[in-house]
Amino acid sequence: MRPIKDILTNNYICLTQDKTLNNLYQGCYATDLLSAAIKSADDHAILITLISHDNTVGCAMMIDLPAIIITENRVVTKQMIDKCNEEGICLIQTTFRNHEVIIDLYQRGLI
Amino acid sequence: MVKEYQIIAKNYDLAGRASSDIKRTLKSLGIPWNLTKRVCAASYEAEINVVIHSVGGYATFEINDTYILLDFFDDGPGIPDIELAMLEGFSTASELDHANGFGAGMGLPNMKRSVDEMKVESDPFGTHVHLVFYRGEEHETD
Repeated sequence: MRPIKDILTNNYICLTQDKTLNNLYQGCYATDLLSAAIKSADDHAILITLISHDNTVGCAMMIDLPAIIITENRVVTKQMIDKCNEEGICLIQTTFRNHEVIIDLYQRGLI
Repeated sequence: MVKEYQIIAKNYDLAGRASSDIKRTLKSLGIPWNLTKRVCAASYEAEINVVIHSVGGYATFEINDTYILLDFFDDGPGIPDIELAMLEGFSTASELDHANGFGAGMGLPNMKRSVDEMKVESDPFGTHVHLVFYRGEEHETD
């Protein structure tokens, strides 16, 4: 497993406390259907989604995911950030689209 | 131990509150992750279903040495065809639900996949989803 901090470049902004960057991950799961994440995301996977909502955090929390990457620069509320900090989930925002995150992480050998 | 939670219809800000508390409770009791994850996944789906589809309801959570029970009750309008609703992909959710990442027709199938026993009863006055998880599986490796 790798620390989330390995992912960060100028294309990714971490919105949560620095300590969340030490969360460990293995692989990722991209979806805009939260039930699909509940069904199929592997343990320790990063959730990549454009659904920027408290429910996204709730879903990640339910299945203990270490990080969420919100794509397409969707607006992230303070409430989401606070909830992630409270639950120790790393919340990252990027201008990339879902598939571009996957391509980027794959090309850098991170997934 | 028995707990009860109110679930408010269409309130996405509070959706998941019951399931979060159930997760915290299971963690504090040292329940293995495999079982906790199954309970949380089913609980979250059931809770979201009440938020999305009903006029409101409540959930009860019970744990003893043998099993974990989750019951979700709402006050309607009910599921006209339970068999159809159990099919993955069938949904009557709104655009708002979709925008919030739900309504893909995976709620009941996800619950069924996670539980050891499941019973759904519904009429126009309400729906009752009964979910059972046996604690025997705690001996499995996490």
